[in-house]
Amino acid sequence: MKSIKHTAVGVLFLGASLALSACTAATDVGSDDTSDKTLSASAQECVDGVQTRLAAATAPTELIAPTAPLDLAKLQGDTIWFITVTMNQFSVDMVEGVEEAATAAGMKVVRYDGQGMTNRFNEGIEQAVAQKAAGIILVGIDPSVVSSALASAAAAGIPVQNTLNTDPDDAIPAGMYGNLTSDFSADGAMAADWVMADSGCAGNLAIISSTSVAVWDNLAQGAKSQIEAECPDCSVTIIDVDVANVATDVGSQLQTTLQRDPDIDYIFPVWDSAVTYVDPVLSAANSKAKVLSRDGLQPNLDAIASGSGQDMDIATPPPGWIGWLAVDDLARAMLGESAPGYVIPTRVIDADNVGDASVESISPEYADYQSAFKSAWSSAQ
Amino acid sequence: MTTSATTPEVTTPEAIPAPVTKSSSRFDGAFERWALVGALGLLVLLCVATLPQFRTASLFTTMLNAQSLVLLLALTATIVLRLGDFDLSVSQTMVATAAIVAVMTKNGYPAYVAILTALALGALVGAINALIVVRVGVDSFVATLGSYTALAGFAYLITDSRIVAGVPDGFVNFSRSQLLGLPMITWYAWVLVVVLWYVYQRTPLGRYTVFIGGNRAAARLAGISVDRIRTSAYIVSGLLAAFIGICFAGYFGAVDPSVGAQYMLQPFAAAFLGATAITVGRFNAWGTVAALYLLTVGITALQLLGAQTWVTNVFYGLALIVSVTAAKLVGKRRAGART
Repeated sequence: MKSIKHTAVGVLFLGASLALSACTAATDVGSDDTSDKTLSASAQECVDGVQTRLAAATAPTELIAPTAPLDLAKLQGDTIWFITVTMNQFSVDMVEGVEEAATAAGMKVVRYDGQGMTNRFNEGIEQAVAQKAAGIILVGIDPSVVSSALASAAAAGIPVQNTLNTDPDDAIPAGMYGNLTSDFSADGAMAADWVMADSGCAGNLAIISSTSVAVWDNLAQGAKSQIEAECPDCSVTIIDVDVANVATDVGSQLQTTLQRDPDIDYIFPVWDSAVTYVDPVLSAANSKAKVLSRDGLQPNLDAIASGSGQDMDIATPPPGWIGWLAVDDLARAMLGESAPGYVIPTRVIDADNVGDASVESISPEYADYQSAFKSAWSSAQ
Repeated sequence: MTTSATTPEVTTPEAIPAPVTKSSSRFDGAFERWALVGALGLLVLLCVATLPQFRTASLFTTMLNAQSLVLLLALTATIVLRLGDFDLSVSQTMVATAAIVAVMTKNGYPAYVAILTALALGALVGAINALIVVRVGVDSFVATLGSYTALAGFAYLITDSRIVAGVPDGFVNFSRSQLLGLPMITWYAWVLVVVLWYVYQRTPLGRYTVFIGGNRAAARLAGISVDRIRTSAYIVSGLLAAFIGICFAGYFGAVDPSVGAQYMLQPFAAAFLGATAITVGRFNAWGTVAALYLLTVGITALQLLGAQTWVTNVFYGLALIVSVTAAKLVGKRRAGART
């Protein structure tokens, strides 16, 4: 009797679902390609303005490298600490550049993985202080949660670099000597420009971000502000996900958002790794929405080159180059020089300029950045 | 190994409750069994009545699809939970085996070699867990937490801490190709529901798992091969987790080694909540399904209403607390009714 009841329950579950699925026309939340639409006068004006900005954003970025020498003799034997919020792909790629640059400068590097835990962030800085680090590169860690550790480093005279945690012009946090970062707000605006250009200033954009990560929020707000200022016929929705549950939250919230607003035709997860969780949702929904993101990780660039899974990326130069730049910036602080004020540039990469997604295609000026650094460092030796 | 305090009480073979004669108690029993299912039904009706999106079949199919991995993991978790043990390593086994599939295929190994290697890893993890828990006698929560942590590091090692993309289309189709509008991964989860229901309810093995979970010593005295069944359960759990890892690799088309922790709690929440339904006090397949879908419908409704992330987290957490508390109270009341 019980087993019959259970079987009945099971049949009910399956039957209801099958009936629903059989009745379902595949959800189509994507818009058709807008390239053939005739634009209104206001839309044309919007597009014309956007094209000018986008032309600059898609152009290859010039190589940023030091021009002043570095007193390598004074750096010999020094140890710098690379403390990152989590040793993800970007951090791995960047720290390889840090180690390469440090070796070239006669220094050593200690890697420290924060594993996403505040207590480890603090422990890492305190360890660096205890082991008399010459300098610290702090990547993606909110300075407010490590304020006392930063105070310890400052008291010990150890310069700490605020890396990729703010916009360039934001105030330098207490206990740190300078910001080495991109203009995330401007990158968000660039993403919005691309959407406007691609959609004929009629795009409906969903941004996936998290307010708990400052730079992601800068990206999201930058895109939102640009859309609202420049594109009256566009719409923008921000999906705020739980950064601790990205793998499940992105898919869950995105699918709900697409249900609520089937007209969304552009999805902008503000960090490259999130595209992995966007793809199955769009696939299941048979959505034609275009996907864009930011960082410039190789899998994402490859996806653009292959024409599947992603349509645009806001790419930095190679993370290894960022590592070299971080070392140069920190080394000058260690030597008491003023901060050079580097800003990490970005470039809009889409099907038109991705090429084969190699460094030579994406950042042609950065093919041999190491030589530029070494040449400058040793120019006074 | 001591039974976890959070494991719902289970009866021994001799103490299977005799039919209760009072009609109100019979009603109470039915209410307990079907309350969660009824709550799910009522919630769906409420949402259909108040939220326009719930009147579209596509919403239901996308809800079902999005929870397929969690459902697979939750069902897998019930296998060991029924025995009074924990296997916290299932989510990391999933990610580690997915990483193996992605890395090996990217390096030119044939798909079948990658699959066999992944399954072998899953079985190995299960065997190691069984060795430590069953043979040595270490608490299962601690032991499998250790294997969970080790597997997380292993996933980082074999992927070089990078996202490995470009999983071959064969794997993607294995998970994402659709049957009657639903991706295959959802069908795999439902097949597992039926298989586990059959094993739990219709086979002696299923009854043995209940006895072992309720009183290991008594089960041993009754002649049940307790250690063999516990060992087998861990190995099956590992193999299933590896299968889920293969599905994972295909579903996302890429493997991020850092996500294992994000799939740890939800499956156990669904399994524990499911133990309050259909066969109350016992981890069961249909109850797990109903529980997960109840949570999913609730969270989806909250998201459609524009609730912020913290609201859904609170909802999920409260649902788990309520479920475990309810299971405990049910167990106490049953024990009181029999004395």
